[in-house]
Amino acid sequence: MRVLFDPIKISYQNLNGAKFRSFLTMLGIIIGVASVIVVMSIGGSAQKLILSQIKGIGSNLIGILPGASEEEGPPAMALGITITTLKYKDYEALLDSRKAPDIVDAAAYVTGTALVKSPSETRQVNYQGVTASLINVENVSVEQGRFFIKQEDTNLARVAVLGSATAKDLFPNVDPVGKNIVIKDQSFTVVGVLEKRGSSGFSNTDEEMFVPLYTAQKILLGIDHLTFIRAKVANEANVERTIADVKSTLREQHNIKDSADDDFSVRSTAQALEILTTITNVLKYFLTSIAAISLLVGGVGIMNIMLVSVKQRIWEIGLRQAVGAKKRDIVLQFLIESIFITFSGGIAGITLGGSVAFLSSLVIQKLGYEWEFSLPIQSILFATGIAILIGLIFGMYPASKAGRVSPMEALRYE
Amino acid sequence: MHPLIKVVDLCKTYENEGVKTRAVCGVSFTIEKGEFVSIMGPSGSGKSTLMQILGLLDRPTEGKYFLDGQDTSAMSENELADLRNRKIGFVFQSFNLLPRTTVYENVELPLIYDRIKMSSSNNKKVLSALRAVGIFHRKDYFSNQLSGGEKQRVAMARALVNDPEVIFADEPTGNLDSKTGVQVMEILEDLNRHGHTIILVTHETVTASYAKRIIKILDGKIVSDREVSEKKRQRVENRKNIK
Repeated sequence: MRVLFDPIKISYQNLNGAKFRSFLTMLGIIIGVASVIVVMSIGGSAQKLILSQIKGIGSNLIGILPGASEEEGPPAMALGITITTLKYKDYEALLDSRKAPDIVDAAAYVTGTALVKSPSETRQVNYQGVTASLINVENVSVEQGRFFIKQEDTNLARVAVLGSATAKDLFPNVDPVGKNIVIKDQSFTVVGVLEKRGSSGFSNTDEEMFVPLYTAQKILLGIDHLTFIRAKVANEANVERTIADVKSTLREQHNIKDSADDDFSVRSTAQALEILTTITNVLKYFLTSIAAISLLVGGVGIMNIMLVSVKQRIWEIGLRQAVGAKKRDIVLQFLIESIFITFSGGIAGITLGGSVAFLSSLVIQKLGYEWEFSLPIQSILFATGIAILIGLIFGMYPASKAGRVSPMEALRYE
Repeated sequence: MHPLIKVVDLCKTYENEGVKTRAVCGVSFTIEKGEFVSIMGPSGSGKSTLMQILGLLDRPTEGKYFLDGQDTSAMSENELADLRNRKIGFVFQSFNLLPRTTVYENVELPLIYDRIKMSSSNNKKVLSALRAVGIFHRKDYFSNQLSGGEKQRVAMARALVNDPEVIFADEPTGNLDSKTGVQVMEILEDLNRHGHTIILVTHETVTASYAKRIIKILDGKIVSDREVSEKKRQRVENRKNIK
């Protein structure tokens, strides 16, 4: 036991005896471990944020987009290509319970951007023309007034529902419900304002405006296709089956015989979640491995200092051998010393990295994100393990060199 | 009864860049338990090489060395380390104490490497070794806080602590002033009186005369091996009294 404990005590005394030099020795390891911790902590929190936004959309939703796309690749829409193959009758077909029995409800969407004028303000607003069923499909709720109804959609009613931020922008000090706004020279009545929801996925409903689908198609855009359809599935477990139902329904609608000729894509949020998890994981581990490179540099520094130490203390090695230390005792002593240095550096690095990640999370929260500070135990264990490993690997050569010192030569070295 | 140390035709040749140097050759002698022997010679005579071989820090290139009846030539590095640990104590010219380490811990060092006798009596052994050399009152000091004479006492306590068969002292007074040197030699004499075998390596005639037997070495060979006459020992005694 003493053979194990003594090197630790000796290392502590050596480190304590030359504080500044020890600090410099450890600095490489401290910085390396701290950056690993920061990347893992911030990366983990960012991943949580992104995934929670996707989950916020609802995990039992299916998205139907025009244009074919690879299962894992981006949809055509994301590349800025407009495809007009998705039509309102496709949407109606999907609502047919004989064709896709698990779909509870679905909403059809078109999107656009327009200059919107309220009595006091003018703003560029992204709007969505949607079926009245949106309120049943997405996680949105109305804070003031009401959402528009099916009759308003079919009657080309000029009504609008504002996202919470849009409402504040257009009507800074007044209740917008019942007021008129002007979109493309057409007067619309604001019938409702949505509850604040925060951004989810790639859009932020707070900053948008909703008008009836038909109104948007005919009056604002002059088109008859849909940008996308979202369908809600009763049970998450039936998502896969429903995707198949949707595909066959649309093939029937579009007279497609071979799935290779599909002119649409069907995605589930679960799929998106999976893809995003994979992407963010890859990013996280990629960044972690870059941070870990600095640990290698730190390790080389440790090796250097240990080689100097072996040379400086060669008489001590000789003395220990003279009083009965075996080669393995000497090797063990120097190995434990280098591990002690990297382990101490690791602890300091974890403390530093944890503090940096924590302070960053405070700043990010101040910026208004729903950021959650996390320092997973795995990252601490990983960083500690890596630090010990670095000590072991880079201490091996100096230690074996110390073990090869002949006692006679060492004692002559004075 | 076998002698404590028996060397037969001992040779040590160093080879450096193809040049062979004979440090010691054809050396044979025996040393019994309880003797106080000086190995004397000028620098370069081979006395240090001889001590290193006798102290199992180095191996002879030829010849046999029996320590306490055991042939050491066939032993492994680990076996030699064990023998050094249990049967041999060293006192060096430059003390070789660990810095930033207390007197107590320095003396305890050999016990740490003794895995077989590892026992609870370690504390007792350390304290009695410290008392034997009169440095007990400094046991909690750090080694770098001590004077030269005190350091050498600590080194002697360290050499004693495992109760070795033989203590090798390599120029133990070399780094000390003459008065402190005398004190150190007196401690060695005292240890010898208590039954410890002491082998002293020195080039100083006066220091060598503390021993009861002097082996003189020149150019790697023994040139004389004789008991110290009472007359000479008396001269040393007188000198001590003057001081």
